Amino acid sequence: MEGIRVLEFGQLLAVPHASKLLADMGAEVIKIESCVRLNAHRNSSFLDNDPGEQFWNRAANYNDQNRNKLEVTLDLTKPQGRQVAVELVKISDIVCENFASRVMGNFGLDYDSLKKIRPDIIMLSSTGYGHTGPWASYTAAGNTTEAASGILWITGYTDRLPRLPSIPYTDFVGAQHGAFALMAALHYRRLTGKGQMIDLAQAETGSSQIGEVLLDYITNGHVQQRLGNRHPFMAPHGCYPCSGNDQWVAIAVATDEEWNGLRHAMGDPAWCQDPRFATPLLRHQHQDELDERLAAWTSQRDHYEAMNLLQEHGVPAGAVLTNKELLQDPHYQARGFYQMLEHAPETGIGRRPYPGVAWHMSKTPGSLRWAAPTLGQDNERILTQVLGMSDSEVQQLAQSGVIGKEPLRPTPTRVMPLEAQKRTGAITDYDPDYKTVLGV
Amino acid sequence: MSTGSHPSALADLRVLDLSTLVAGPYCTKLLADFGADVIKVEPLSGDPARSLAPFFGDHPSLEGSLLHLYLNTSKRGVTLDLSLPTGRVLLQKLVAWADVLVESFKPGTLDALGLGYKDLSKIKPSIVVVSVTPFGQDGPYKGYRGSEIVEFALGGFMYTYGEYERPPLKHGGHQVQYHTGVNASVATMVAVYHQRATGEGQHVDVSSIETQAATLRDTTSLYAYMGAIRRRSPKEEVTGEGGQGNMVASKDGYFMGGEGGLPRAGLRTVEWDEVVDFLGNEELRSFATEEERRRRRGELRAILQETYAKRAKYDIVEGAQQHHFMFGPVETPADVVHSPQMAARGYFASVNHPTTGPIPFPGRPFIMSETPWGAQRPAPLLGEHNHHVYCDLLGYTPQDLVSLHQLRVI
Repeated sequence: MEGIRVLEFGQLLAVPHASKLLADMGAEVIKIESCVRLNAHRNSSFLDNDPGEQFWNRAANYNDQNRNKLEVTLDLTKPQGRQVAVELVKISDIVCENFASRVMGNFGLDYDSLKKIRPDIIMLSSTGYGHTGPWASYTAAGNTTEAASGILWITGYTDRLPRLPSIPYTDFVGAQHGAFALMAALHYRRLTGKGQMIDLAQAETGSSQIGEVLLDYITNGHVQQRLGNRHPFMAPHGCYPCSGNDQWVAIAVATDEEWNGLRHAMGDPAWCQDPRFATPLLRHQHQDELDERLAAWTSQRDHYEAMNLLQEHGVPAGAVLTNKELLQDPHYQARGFYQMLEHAPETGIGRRPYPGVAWHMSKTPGSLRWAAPTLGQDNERILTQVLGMSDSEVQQLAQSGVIGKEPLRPTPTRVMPLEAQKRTGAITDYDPDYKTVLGV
Repeated sequence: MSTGSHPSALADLRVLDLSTLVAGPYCTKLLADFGADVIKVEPLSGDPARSLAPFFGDHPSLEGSLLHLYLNTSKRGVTLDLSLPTGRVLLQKLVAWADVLVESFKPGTLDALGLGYKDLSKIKPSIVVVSVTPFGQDGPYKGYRGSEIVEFALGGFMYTYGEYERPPLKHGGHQVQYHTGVNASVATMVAVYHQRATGEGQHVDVSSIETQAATLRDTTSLYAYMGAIRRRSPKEEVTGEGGQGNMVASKDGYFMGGEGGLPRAGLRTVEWDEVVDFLGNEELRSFATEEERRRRRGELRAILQETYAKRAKYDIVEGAQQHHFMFGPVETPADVVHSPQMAARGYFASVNHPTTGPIPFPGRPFIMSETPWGAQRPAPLLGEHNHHVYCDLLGYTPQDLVSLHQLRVI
């Protein structure tokens, strides 16, 4: 994607993740941030759970989503800030943003304005519910968009209300659809020379991932409900306890062949002969009893051991991996998925592993080129080398507070000690020697 | 916003889709609905998705799976037995026609048939082959069997989903597969971008577990930054029942509000008078201080519950949003279908499949101002376009077609 320049006005995830996918592929992504309203991702999950001197340059979530990007801070509420943004639009191929729907218009940076500045500009505008319709002005977040998409309704234990996922899933779903939209728009621009505006509603991208569920209602009148870890016809199907602390293995058996594999893996215990488990239909009907017996077997083993043994017998099974295990897993390691990045010395972060590129390409592989920028890191370089401003002009912008390298109101979020987080259950445990474990 | 008078964004893109089930077909559906010419190549028994529920009218049939109908709009469909030498010859001819081939076989399957990326690139150097699998083309798990819940476990999402004391919980539906499909669609378009610039093809390896691992937030980074092992929701004594303090009951369903239904507004501080105005209940004036709300927590909760139980969820959300409180409706699948927001935005489009007749289809993922989205045709019947593709496109005669049919090649 070299030669493509993306101007990102992104908050949190829904757009930063989309432009990250392009940055990993070599696009030049310039992130515009504000020292007045700090990106909330710069204010959580600090290095060693300690805000330190410059908490905004020590935040894990921010650094996760913004590697391979450049950054300029601009105060868009000031005319000079907006003027710099306009100059950047002139030399960009793509503008993407996920403010509330009115904000870009307030800055004079909505699509109609951008098109006048650069006629072939491609704009991705990602909101909770879209730019049109009765909910267009609603503010939203990951939990509300997933709730509105319908995915939430079918997620959860059968005896409880729907269960929110632990990550803002529709932010990511919206981001990936947004990246696809940008690529499709670039493809069209190559053919026709025309740019366009993409109006993406995160809730709608979520609904597009339950199409068959919606059609089940449209044609059959069925409102699908939560199944927990159960499956409409597979059994056994679920998440089974293993020998370690909070260790689990997921198992999904569909066919007689897989059931026989499971039997052999377990040494064909006598209970497998029970006529209640003779056919897939009977197994599904008696899965409470089946699950109890299978759990007794899995409980005797480590989750990796259970997975490998079952897979050797042709049974779909997967260890439920923790974050630590992901970083150490032999398969991810063999594929070189996690990659180390070195951070600027003033952050104190040093080297850290990051999730790799979301796909492997044989000729034009993506790569992790550099760590996420510190606040305002590229202000001078972009303004002078890319926009051709003089040093004194840049200095003047700094003096009038249009650009900067420190937040205006630097108040770090209160940090809860890891021991307390363990008590509340937010984390399972923590390793004081994690740096040794990771070799950083 | 879209108009039919413009060409589609991907009108010049030719795709051969050998993938089955959900992930690969969702990738090619995205391409097809935005205008790509996609030929779905199925085994003679059909894509196994044809055997998956839900079914139209709850009647199982090869042409009635709603999952299949949803995932294969805008595609043409042919049958082809790749295990037969003649089948492989036909596929090679199709590859000469295509820009992109998407497949989801177990790694090594196409290589063993002489149809791997290396073989196909000899026929057509610019071909982009996209492989969409659970675990990827190499590494110790490449031969492992996948399944939605199994891939969810190994992708790293599952451990953090669910209640503290219960087993990790699966996400609803086929989320992992859809998620992988959209990720594959981005990867495909990046490879096409390079292909159009240079004429060079390549092999793209997309796995569902890496799709997830590349998407996690606050997970591997928590270990990398502080050595913490992220768990599911905190214990119930911390979060309240089910950890769902934000999901609140109204007269006709649920909505997302602040904790226990107390309004929140992102970073802004909420004035208590605003809350009382929004809820229209004077009884609440006496809870003006944080301390008072904490002291009479149970009483406050009961008043809120009672107030919300009298009002409809859309009404509550609309009122809250006017005060810039970040409330949103919790929608059942039926609510989504009847959503005034989605109706206003044209999220549903009519599709006329022989099994169902004309019905509204969901799925427009976003609106492009210049280029249209929509089902160019309903999902193909099994082998529906054999004549179009093998005779009109590849130049076989109708008599050849009869022979190929009798030889069980197609």
